[in-house]
Amino acid sequence: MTEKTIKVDYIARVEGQGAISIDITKYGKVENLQFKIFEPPRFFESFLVGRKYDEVMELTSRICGICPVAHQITALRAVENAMGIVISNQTRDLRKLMAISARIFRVMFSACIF
Amino acid sequence: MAKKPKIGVFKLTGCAGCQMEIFRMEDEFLDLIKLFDISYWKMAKRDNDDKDLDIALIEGGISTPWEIEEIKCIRKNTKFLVAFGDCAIGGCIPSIRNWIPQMESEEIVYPDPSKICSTKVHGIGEYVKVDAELKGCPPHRKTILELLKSALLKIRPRLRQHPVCVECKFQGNACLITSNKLPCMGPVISGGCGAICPTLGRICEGCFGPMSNPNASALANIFRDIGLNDEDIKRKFRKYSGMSPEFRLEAGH
Ligand code: SF4
Ligand code: SF4
Ligand code: SF4
Repeated sequence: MTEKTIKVDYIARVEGQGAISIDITKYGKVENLQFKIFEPPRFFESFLVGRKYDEVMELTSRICGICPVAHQITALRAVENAMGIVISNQTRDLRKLMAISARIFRVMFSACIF
Repeated sequence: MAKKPKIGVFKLTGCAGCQMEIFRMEDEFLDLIKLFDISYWKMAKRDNDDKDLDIALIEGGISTPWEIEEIKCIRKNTKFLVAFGDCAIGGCIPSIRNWIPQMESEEIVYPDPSKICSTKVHGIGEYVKVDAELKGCPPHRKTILELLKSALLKIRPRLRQHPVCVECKFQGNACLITSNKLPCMGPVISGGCGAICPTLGRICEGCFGPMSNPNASALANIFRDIGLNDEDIKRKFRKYSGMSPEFRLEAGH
C-alpha cells in the first residue's frame, strides 16, 4: 500500500515543462513512478530535411536554450561523419573546451537558481 | 515605496533561451529581484501566482490547443503583455515546419503520431493583443533591461527600429555583401545585437527578425545577383521570421 507520494507538478530543470509523481510503500519500495514531459513537440527532425549542411548547427542550437552547445557540437559531428570530414586536433580541443565551459555554466546556473 | 510591479515569465513553444537571457543579466539580476515582484516563473521558482500581473513576458509560440487557452488566460490576467523573443512574435525556427504537411512532420519524428496533439506554429499575436515585442532569438539583455526600466518609469521603451547594417557600420566592418558577395540578411533585419555576426566575418542570418518597414524584395534581388537561386532565397527568409508579414512573400507563402 502506498504510504507516501512525492509529487512535483513542474520540474524547473526541464524548464517547468515536465512533472514527476512517485508512490512509495511503507517498506520504502517504489510502487508507481510517473514521469511526464508536456513540452510541445517542435519537429526538428522534420524541418531539418531540405536545409543546407551549414545551417544545421545554427538551427539545432535552438533545441535547448540551457544547453545549446551540446546540440551544436553533436550537429557538427553528424554533418562531418556524413561528409567524411576529419577535423584537426586543434578544432577538437577547442570544441572540448567549449563543451566543458558550457557544462560549468549549466551546473553553476542550476546550483545558483534552483 | 510604491507597490512593486508584479511580473510573470511564461514558456510556450520555445527553447528557454529567451528566459536564460534574463539569468544572463548578471550585473542587474539582483536589482531586478529587488525592484519587481516575480510572481510567476516556473523555470526559477516553486510557488507561482499568475493573477493580476503588471507585466507578462511570454517566451514561445503557440502550437497546441491548450496553449491557445493558456495565452488567453494570461492576457486576461495581465496589464502589459510582451511577446518575448522571435518564437512568441512569429514562431521563429520551429515555424519552418509550417510549410510541411503536419502529418508528414509527425510521422518523421514519432513512431505513433496518434498521441501527438500539435498544430502549425504561430506567434501569440494571432490569438491575443500584444503590447510590446522584444525581437531576437534570444533578445539582447540590454533590450530586456530597457523594457523593464521603462516599465518602472512608466515611459515608452526605446526599442530599435533600424537594421543590423547600422550597427555593422558603427563597428567599422567592410560590408560582406559588397566586398565578399555573401548573402547577408543585415539590410532587412532589426538591430539590437550590435552586429555580432558580421563583426566576426559571418553573414547575418536574421535572428532578430524583420526591421520596421524592410525592403525584402530588393534584398532578394541582390541575393539573385550574387548567385542564389529561388530555393536558397526562400530558405533564408523562411528561418527565423518566415511567418512575418514583412517576409511572407520571399518566404514563399
Ligand atoms: S526565440 Fe530563440 S531563444 Fe527564444 S525561445 Fe525561441 S528559439 Fe529559443
Ligand atoms: S555586412 Fe551585412 S550587416 Fe554589415 S553592412 Fe553589409 S549587409 Fe549590412
Ligand atoms: S544573425 Fe544577425 S541579428 Fe542575429 S546575432 Fe547575428 S548579426 Fe545579429
